[in-house]
Amino acid sequence: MTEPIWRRNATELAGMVADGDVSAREVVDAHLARIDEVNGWLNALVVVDTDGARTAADQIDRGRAAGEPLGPLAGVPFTVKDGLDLAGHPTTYGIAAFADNVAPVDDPTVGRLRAAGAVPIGKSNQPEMAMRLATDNTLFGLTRNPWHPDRTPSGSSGGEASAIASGMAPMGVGTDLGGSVRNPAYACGIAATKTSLGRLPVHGTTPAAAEPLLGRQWMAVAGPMARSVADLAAMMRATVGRHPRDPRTVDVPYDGAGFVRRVAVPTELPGGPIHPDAREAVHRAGEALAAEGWEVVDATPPEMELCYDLWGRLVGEDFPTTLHALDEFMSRDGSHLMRSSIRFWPAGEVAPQVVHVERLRLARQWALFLDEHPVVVLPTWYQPPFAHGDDLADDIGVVRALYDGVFTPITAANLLGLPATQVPVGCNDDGVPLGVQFMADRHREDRTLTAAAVVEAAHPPITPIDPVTH
Amino acid sequence: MDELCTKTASQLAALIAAGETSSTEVVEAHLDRIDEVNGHCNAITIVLATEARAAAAAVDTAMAAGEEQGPLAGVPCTVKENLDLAGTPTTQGLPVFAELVAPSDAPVVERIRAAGAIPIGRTNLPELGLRITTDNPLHGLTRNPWHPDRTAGGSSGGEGSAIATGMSPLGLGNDIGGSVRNPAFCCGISSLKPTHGRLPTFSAFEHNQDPGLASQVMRTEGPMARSVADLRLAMEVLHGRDPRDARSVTIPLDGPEFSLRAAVLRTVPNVDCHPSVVAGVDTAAAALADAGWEVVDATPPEMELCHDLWGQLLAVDVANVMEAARAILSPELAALLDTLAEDYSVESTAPTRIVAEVARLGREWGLFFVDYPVLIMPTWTRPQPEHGFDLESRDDTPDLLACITPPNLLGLPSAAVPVGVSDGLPQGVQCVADCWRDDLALFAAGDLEAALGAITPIDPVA
Repeated sequence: MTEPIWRRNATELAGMVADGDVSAREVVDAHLARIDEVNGWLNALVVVDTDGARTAADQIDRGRAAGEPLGPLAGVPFTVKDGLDLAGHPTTYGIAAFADNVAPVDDPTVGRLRAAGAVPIGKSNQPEMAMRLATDNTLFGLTRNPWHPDRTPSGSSGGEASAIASGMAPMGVGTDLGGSVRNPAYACGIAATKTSLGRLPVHGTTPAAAEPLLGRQWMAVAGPMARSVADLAAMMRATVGRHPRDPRTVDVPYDGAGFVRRVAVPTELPGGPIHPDAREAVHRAGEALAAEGWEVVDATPPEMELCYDLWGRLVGEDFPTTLHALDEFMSRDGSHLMRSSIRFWPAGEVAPQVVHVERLRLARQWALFLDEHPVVVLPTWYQPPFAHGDDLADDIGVVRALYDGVFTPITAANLLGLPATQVPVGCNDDGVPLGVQFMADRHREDRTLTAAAVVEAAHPPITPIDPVTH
Repeated sequence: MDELCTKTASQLAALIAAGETSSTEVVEAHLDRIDEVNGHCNAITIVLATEARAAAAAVDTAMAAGEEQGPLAGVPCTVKENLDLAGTPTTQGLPVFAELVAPSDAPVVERIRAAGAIPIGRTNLPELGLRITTDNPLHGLTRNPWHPDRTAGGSSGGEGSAIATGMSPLGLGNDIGGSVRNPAFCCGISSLKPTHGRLPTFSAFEHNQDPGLASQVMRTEGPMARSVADLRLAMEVLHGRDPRDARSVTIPLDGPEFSLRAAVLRTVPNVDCHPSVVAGVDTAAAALADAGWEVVDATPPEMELCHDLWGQLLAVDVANVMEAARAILSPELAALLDTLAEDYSVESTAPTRIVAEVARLGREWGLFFVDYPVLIMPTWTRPQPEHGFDLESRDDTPDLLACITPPNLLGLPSAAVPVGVSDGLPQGVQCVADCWRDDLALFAAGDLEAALGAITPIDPVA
């Protein structure tokens, strides 16, 4: 074995454990050692379940020795975003008041990964209530981006991305209401899929989180994060489908009907400003697909700026209620995004029924567009990852400009319940990761991941890396 | 009645496919039946005789040439007048839309045609489909073939009356508050309100596109027929994603294996069910037990809250459209909708709160279905009232629909099926299952039908 275990992808590790090339215990121990080595600096993991992970690994090894069938991810360590329940560990949401809020059972998606043989090794940091584009909170502090000490890993699943990019875990689960798996995957140079509405079950046992309001119900989903596209697909296969604890979920088969290899690669992108790196990233993806015989069409999906505005309207309806319930537990920095959003999209400024009707109309426009173009490539963000704290500016105009650079390309997938897979496409000349996202019709993660795999083959994964500390 | 008009859609398809009869003979028999009984029932608003004969001749020619045919090849069907059927008006029961000819088919019409079915007529409904009886200023009153003074139900009352009398074996309706189940109950036929999202909805008319939240999350198209096997066959050709309806999904109809355990609701919380309704549920429970089901008395979670939230959500839509719609509605319907909006008077921010509650209730019911894969409960809580009862007093209507609305609120599949006749009027129950388990709802309904038999078609009782 020439390469250290912790550098291996999830599917590689699953194959090695299944073949007996390595034991689950060795895999877990290698990752625990890597956590010891780099987590002190990165502060990505807030719980490391050394004993639990070793016990689970030993059980898998005993099962294998006894000839029992192994799950498809047997022995593969994974991490879980703080805000998702992992049985026996606190779900804190990054808030001190919830520091002892121990989950009695796994979130359904976490439970399915465990049932597939994967081994939870820790929980990862997030901003308070997952409501920032950076990862910092008063309970656990700042999470760093392994690529640069001053740059945010983004958020809200920033702990996941930082841990996976630095080799502490090969895969993890995050959540995404406004890019929260794609944002940090982009900033940290890994892959992640914001799943279609209804694909992966999510249900928190904390009363405050159990009954999401309308915006969250329609737009917030769980999503796999990993360093390779194959790993995302393996996680999807292990976790999709209806679960009685999440009535939104559906049993749409993971593999959909075959599709024409045609991709929309828009040169005209609405809103902005758009950094040249974002255009370069899309260009790289288009070139890679064209080289593999895909028909590349210059077409822009419908009304992206209106999608962004309606996304703002929906969260703007939810946030006052959420803030009312949680404000006393949150720091000023922690509630900055919610307070800013309430200023940008005041509840009632656009009547809710208009938002609901327009959302359905846009969903149809996009579905028809995606019927014609089975995959579309967009920049993940219009702008490069920013420095720690930039999202907390006092000047509301500065905040809005930052949001526009992030949310214009990000939020259509949330508003419309569409899948979006972010993959890195190498770095720029200064060593900053570039990323694109592939979108497709609802429940067609097979399309986004097929396209992502083609581009990944041309622009191989750029992680794991050792943290850059100066 | 010609024997062909007593056959189910599946039987007719098999007879035509086997060459034992022709599509032309089948269509002619149904056209004759319409001539015979529609004058009394007033169920069918437009008879598509010329088009249907041409389509039947085409099927027969293709059949003779040995061409492959769809599973409903040559079988007549009817379509409610709020679904687009190319070349005929989508009136929604409103005089103002009397000439509003659809340029194209709704997705479900397109699919049933693609399966070989032949639209033979359009069917009546109340204005905008927003009553549970069937009468309107455009086409007038539709009668229940079982009793001249009792309602045929609504809003798909034309379908219910036409199918129950043998004018059509199969129809397409829709359901936001029981509109395929109410008339199925009233007229003694079967229908399925599918899981929300199984059947795509689209209209070429902009005013029918992109409705408000209540309609978006609670309304679905649904098949109606005299046999459960026909509902199943219809679902096979109707279900699945259409990009024109972003909510629609393709999910296999058959889910994982399940245990034969049914919850039976004999006592509806805080509603006095009529003895004939309770007797119908008892009949169904006994029939399932005889068929090998474990039958357990159990009440699903928070039915009253479900019913109330359904009303609140609907009231939000109604309040939003009333200003624009008032001018084109009859004063009677406008008054009814005003009352509904008042009864449930809700704040404009209600959707956010209601939808959070719906998620919780969806989970509670989902867990209930883990224990009991099928729920048997009343359709209406009392027998078919007289025409127009819903306009005279709204006092009783909420109780009447207590079991109808939870499946709309929660998106659940519900099959309405007749279980007998009492005092000359059909009795019926609903078979409800978890979301996407339309197969279970239909399986239980099929067992009831096998044990208790169909009670239609009948000659109208004048």
